[in-house]
Amino acid sequence: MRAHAARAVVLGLAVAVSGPIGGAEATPILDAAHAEEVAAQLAEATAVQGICYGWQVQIDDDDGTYSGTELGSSRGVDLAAEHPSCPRFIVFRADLHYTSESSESSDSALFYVWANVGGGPDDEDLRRVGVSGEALLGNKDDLAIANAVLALPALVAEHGLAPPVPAVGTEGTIPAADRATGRPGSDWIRAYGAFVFLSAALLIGGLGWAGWAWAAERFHLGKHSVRE
Amino acid sequence: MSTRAQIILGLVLAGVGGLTFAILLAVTGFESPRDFVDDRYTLVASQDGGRSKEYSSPQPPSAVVQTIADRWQPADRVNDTAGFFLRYRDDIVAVMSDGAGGSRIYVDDEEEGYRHWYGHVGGYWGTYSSPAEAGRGGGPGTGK
Repeated sequence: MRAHAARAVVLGLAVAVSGPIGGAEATPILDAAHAEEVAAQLAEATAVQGICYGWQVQIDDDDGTYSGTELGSSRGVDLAAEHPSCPRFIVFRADLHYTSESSESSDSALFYVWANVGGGPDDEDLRRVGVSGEALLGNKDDLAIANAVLALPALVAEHGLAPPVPAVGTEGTIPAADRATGRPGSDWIRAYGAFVFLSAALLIGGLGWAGWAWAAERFHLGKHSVRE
Repeated sequence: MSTRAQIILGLVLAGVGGLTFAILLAVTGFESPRDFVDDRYTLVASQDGGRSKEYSSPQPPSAVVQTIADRWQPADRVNDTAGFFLRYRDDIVAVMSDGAGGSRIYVDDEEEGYRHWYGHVGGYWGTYSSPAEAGRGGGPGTGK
């Protein structure tokens, strides 16, 4: 393991800082079932590409609720990819720091790709596919970690280091009870919400101001006449 | 400031706001992620009366998915060992390698997209009860 680690390189470095989001983590981020699923998918990718994949997330919680390291790989949950059985490995690493509730400092996240494979994906590649410090510190931090590590085989294929993992499109039907749930809101509002809010604020604010000025003039609002 | 000036300034601000909204609506109100993909990439196949479409691009998948997500922020996304999936109100967009350095882009409506990519997004964007049929190892079971 040490020999591999010595040859490993950090591929890019990304630091993100954001405001406190929901306080400290009280439990490990990836629950057991989800971690098992991620490891199983990585194992399938390793079988196709001949590269071991993994994740290692260091969590530092100033409140002391939970601090530690979560890791897993194609070899299984809690097993590092850096192992003699894996001559080539690529690992998503992140350091998440949750400040105490009383601290004025922001939570922070740093992530990078640790690998002994040259020419592979780095943190900029991960950013292109939606990985960010904000996501790693957000309410869906488990999905953010899974999205980061599971993107690695697809990115490796992009870099020409291995063949792509084939997608499995469903042939036929799926169980009748299964369907998409939680339909998202308007795409247009999501894309242009800031402009809509700004134009609505101008419209309402402007009308309100003009109306108030007219009413103040018409009904002498704010002016007091005193009769002796 | 005189009352008259305040009324005029208020109406001007309201007019700017209203005009901004009207222009925004006129220029972008009838666009969608599906239209964006259709305008930007080469159509390869269309099925079910256009419910499902397949496109190609010479760009790699990460560049394609970044372009689409930058223009139309997805409500949710799933990255997978095989590719990248974006969820919108009415559509699911999947981007994956074409095996030659470029990309294949699939746009399906919500129902068809969930069926088509059940093995990849099932359990994340809806109910999921059959990992064996989907060819996925295990699963979270229900939506996250």
